[in-house]
Amino acid sequence: MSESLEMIRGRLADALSSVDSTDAVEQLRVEFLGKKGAITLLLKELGSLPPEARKSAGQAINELKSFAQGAIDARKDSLLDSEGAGVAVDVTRPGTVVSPGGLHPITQMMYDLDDAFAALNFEIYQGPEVSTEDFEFDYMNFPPDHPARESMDTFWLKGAGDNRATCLRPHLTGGSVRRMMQGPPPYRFVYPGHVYRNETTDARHERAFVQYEALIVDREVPFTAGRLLIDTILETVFGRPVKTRMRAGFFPFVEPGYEIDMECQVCHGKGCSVCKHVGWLEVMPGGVPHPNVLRASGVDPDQWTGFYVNVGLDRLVMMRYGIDDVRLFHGADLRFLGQFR
Amino acid sequence: MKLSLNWLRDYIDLPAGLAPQQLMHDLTLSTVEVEGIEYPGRHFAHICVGRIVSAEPIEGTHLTLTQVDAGMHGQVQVICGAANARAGLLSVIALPGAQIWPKGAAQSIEVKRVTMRGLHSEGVLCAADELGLQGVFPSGGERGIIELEESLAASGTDLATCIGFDDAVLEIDNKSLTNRPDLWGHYGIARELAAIYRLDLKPMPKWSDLPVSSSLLSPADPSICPRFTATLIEGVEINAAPLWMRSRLARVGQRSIDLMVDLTNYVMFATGQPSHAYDADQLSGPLTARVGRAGESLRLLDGSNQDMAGLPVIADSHSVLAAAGVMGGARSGVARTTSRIFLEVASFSATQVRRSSQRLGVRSEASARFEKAVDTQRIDQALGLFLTLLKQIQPDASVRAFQDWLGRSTPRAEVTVSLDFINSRLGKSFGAPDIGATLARLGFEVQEAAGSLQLKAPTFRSTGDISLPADIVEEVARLHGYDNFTIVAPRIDLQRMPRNRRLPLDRRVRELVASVGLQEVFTYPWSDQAMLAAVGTSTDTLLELEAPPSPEARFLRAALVPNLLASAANNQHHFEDFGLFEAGAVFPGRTEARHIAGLLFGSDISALFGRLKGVLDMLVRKAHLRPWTYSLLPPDAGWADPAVVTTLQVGDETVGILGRVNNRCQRAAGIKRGEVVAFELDLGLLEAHVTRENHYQPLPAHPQTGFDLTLLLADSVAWRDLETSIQSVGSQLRALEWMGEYRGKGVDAGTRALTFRVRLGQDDRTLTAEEAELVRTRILDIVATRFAARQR
Repeated sequence: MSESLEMIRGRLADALSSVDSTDAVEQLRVEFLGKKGAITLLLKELGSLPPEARKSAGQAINELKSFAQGAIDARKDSLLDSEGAGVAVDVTRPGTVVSPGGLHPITQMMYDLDDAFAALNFEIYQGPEVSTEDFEFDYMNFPPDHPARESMDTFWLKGAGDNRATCLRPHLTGGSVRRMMQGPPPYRFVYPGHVYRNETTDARHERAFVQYEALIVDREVPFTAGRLLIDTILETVFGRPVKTRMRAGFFPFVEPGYEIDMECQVCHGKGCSVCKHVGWLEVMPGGVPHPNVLRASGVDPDQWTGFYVNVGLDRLVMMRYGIDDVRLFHGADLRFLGQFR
Repeated sequence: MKLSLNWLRDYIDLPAGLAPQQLMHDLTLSTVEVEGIEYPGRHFAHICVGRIVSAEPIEGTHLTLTQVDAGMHGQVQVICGAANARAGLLSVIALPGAQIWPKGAAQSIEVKRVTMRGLHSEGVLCAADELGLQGVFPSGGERGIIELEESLAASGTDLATCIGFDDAVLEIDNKSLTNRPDLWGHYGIARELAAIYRLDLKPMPKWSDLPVSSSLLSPADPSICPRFTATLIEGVEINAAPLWMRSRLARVGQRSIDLMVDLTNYVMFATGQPSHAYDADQLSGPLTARVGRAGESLRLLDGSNQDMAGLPVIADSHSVLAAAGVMGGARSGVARTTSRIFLEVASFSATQVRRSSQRLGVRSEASARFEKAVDTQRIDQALGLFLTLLKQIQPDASVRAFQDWLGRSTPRAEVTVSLDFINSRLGKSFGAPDIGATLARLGFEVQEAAGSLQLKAPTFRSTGDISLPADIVEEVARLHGYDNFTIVAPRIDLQRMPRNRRLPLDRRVRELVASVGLQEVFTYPWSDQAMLAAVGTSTDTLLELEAPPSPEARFLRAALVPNLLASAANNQHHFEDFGLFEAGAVFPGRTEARHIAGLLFGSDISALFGRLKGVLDMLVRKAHLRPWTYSLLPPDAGWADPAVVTTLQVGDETVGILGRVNNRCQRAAGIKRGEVVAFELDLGLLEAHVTRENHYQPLPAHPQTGFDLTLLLADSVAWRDLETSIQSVGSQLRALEWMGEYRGKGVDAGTRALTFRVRLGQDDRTLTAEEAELVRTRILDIVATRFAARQR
């Protein structure tokens, strides 16, 4: 009988080493451990043995049974992994396009900026695109005979308003007054949107473009605090800190006014053809809202001051990605728009 | 505007060793943008003064063999073709290695030793245009070489040095000067440099004791001309201005004409005050500045004939002489033969000059300056400089009569500002003496009393530039240097969260639509008129541009789909199928609204429709919108195919439309093939329907069962009708789910095979197979009776 156990053990080991599928292993399980399996039969025969032999025989058979179970499970596990998918898959094939499409590159940048400013507790404001001369020029402290009003680059609309001249907004700044009129200071908001100028288009000029404006109005805003606005914008756009400088600049709606330059990202300040060998590029105007602008907004300029910047997103996005023609932004060409992430 | 550094040095002793690049940087940061620096002497290496020692004609040619004394460069033999090459002439020689511009050459060439007819030529005697110096030597003639004055310099002297071209010329961005009329001349910039470097500004020459007359002028119109001075000068000889003056003018980009024109230009580039010299012999009666009368016209110096009615003019008793502050007329020139000059130095209203310049379509150096508002006191400075220079150049010239007509002189702006105000705005503590010294260098009169500064601005800063305490803050800050302040982060107090539904909805919808295969585009806010006609939008209700970018783009868009169709047409040749969308402002009925619209371009209309409808259903869920219903109400959009369109309703409100773009509009947009399905939603209306109200449904306690059915149905049977009818089968029906439809082989024309899944269940137990089969039979009965449909 003990020989017979050895034989079964040997037969099982041989059989396991020669099978090559989990199904065949399962058959062996039936063959050895099933209801009519060889080992099961041995256990059934135990009863016919003399009582003194039963104990040792029972132990031997149970050992064999657990050996068989262990060997079968181990073989099955090893075969399970080697069987894999059962079908050849070319892992070098391209992925199936789940969903083409996406946001316009300027929208993407705008949302990045919105998120950055939202994290600084700035409100995001949006104003109307059709505006009036009072918001765009009067409240902006443009004198009545200022050439910008007469200039042809504002898209004036034919007698649409109630005696007020209406236009497609030529800048966002007029809309800031609209926001300030909604309630008392302090204010801390950003203001993204399309603006329109009647220009002849070329690789550097468009009739429609996107500006991003940020404004703080509070009781005490030293002008250097405005640097936070500038740095937030440029660091968000370029993904790293960008060196900037402020210099004197004149705009009717700010006093003092600044031109803000950033270090040329092509040559990093050494001077190249992009920055006309100056090492700096003019990127945005900024300044303290002019007392007349605050007054027009219903804010007492003796109590409140502020800081404002306004940046052309088109130009920054062009610099960011090396785009050489601003007209691509309004060209609705999917070959272009699909490139950005 | 160009600025000569050498010229600036007349008015200020700049720090020793100050590099032009550094000055450019300092001036840019504190005052105006310097766009670049030119070094005019750079082009004149190996070019020097040379005296022709001998000149022999070369037989059989028009050429001359000359020996030229080039000082330390030795005696040089030069073959010269100029008719004026003669022994004894002091001229300019370019030696081997020099660059010159031969007549008609596109580029400069290098001077080399050459041999002609067996004779060596070791340099070139130069004409003015070969050196780009026709502005300095205008009388040099077409063929002749430059003739220098005997006393100018010794042979061998560098040309650049002896004509003052060893200079640096700064190019100023004029846009950065628009608010600073005081900076439109060298003296104004020198004043800024004096403040930046804390140096003293040298005074300008003054004039006095002129013989006063009252017959030169008749009263001017003060709304045009607040001050008019006339100076009658006799004993003048109209010849060329001295070389140093011609050279300076050339360096700042002004061509030399004759002494009188050059002098007025020189004074303007020095002081910023334009003036005009008339030939006194050509004038009749006193001059005045007034409004042009009906019928008065003027031939300007640029040759154009202009109607001067209503525009500011300078006139004598006979006729109009000049467009005041803009340009002189043909009769305002000075004849070479005259010896009597009538000098006009006057102030003109900025508004009037701008209006006149625009109406005439003429811009001049004078109008550019008057437009910025020049103070009346500047006249004194200009007159002083003019008369001093004239006396130097032509000692025999003398002033015979002078008249000063004053309407209103520029008052000094007065500003009172507290030290606290300045320091809190700047985040720094400046002392009163510090600020006072800075402002004094800029021409301010400063008085300090109890922490407050009482300031009187100079008149040249008082024509609109300085008027407020904030203006003083700027003066202090810019001269301290904006980069020299420490950065302070603003203190931020948390406030109540602003409640804004519009922007989050706008952004979420755009992000969602972009995430399911549609690309966002930007189009212009106007629509093409042909497209508006195709869509059937009446232009009566649209906003119209006064000066449209093109005649077809006069009207602002009332909806987004028309422009998107044009965008689709742009892409049809590059892609088989694609999706586009835009979110933007539209102006239906002349009021502004915000919409989002999208389209799918492809070939299978029902697949496209299904997909776009799926996008809209997804928006409802993921943008947290109150669900809309798809109604069959006739749509309010001319682009839709009436057979394939549905309007989106929330309650009674139509919030959008989804449909196939009709053939007419596809053709109008230039879409040549394929199918287009589009939607447009009113984001403003949806704002009110943003909600996260949502109720939990308990999960079924017992497993559901069900089956799939495929029915053959006439096309006239809508899914919604089928769905409604099948509902009557009873409460065990839990859901009907569309699975797909098929048309084509094996299915009769005008019918479709529609497959859907029926889900069944009961709250208190699991349904048996027999019960499910019973429902199936009843459904088949219903559809057979109602729609003559049978199972496939």
